[in-house]
Amino acid sequence: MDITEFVSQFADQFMNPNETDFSPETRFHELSGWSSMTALMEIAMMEENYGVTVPSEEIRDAVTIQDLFDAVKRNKEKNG
Amino acid sequence: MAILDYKDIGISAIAACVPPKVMKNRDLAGFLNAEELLKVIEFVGIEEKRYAEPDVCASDLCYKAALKLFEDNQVNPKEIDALIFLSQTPDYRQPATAPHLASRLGLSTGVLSFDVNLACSGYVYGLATSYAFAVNPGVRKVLLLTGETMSKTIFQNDKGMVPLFGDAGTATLIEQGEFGASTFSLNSDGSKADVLKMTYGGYRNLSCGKEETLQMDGMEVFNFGIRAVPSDIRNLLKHIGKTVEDVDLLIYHQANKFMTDFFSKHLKLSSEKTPYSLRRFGNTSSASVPLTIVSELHDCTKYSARESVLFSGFGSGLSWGTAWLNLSRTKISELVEY
Repeated sequence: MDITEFVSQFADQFMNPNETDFSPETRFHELSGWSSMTALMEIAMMEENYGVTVPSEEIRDAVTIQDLFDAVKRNKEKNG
Repeated sequence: MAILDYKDIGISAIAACVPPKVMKNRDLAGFLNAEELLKVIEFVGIEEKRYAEPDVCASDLCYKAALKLFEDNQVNPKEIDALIFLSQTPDYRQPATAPHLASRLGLSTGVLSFDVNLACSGYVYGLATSYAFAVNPGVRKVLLLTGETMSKTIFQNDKGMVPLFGDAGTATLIEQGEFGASTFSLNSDGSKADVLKMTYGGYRNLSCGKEETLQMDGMEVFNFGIRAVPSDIRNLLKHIGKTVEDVDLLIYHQANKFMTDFFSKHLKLSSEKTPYSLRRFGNTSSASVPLTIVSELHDCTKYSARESVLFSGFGSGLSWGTAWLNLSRTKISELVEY
């Protein structure tokens, strides 16, 4: 799993052309394009690319994209 | 999963009714920002929905749908031996709405009638229950009425919920006939009851203003859907010895097009086989599957292969189910307004 690729996959779910500055440190809940629908699209992105469904609690607790990446890794390991 | 198999019982007729008041999601500009609005319309797939007036209940919408069904199919109400009203927005907490509906519709006092309290999985559960009665030779016809006034359950300042839900009532007639085999798979998981819940207004927590509205953890609902729905469909198909290629149509509960398209992708099912009414009516809970049949399949030149049809319902409870049945002999009325 590669964080750069994950950030790019994460960014693909946003539609605001002015919102282009994505990095592992991005605090994604604060982005103007973050909404309940974007959250679902990220869940689908993570399921499709990494085969895990990340519980909503962990998505709410994650502050940065890096945190979310770590949650995916954690859940992937848990599923064995 | 509880599996129920039936032979030569089926849906002979379906009708649906919506209130005339159209609520356009584009009019929510300002309440939702531009990106939220675009996503609701383009990804969730809801452009507008219908709202009932304050004095119109789900039972009224079902009543009108049933009258349309009777009229189009020359149904004698006295031949209906069972009536099930499935809704989470009944007329009263007590008594059940079904007996009053039976009386309004001119059914005899010999009719068995009762309410079922289920949400988005409700149509599949209601059908399975109706089939179980129709198996009995003493029951000539079963009338299943599913309807909701979801608009009255939503906190109107809730940005996540307001764009999604609408109101509708439906009527489905179930009886014996040359329908072939049908199968239902029914499931539930109460450990996740909190993800879609109206916490107040029952007897655990009495009425309490804003909290007496439907609350949803959309992310968990989505996670549940991904885990539960495609696998239930696959399991049912396996049970009856069929594959996804054998499916003519899959009619999903109309919750969120992005989500159900994602299920189809998992199942490798073509989007041409999944009709949607979501764009015009939003999520109408247990009414959404029959409303989709009426709005999208009334024109019999569209979706003309209807022998091998799947219904998929999933939602609060948590509760979900899949049905496999034949709609080729089903008479579908034109949509009516209340």
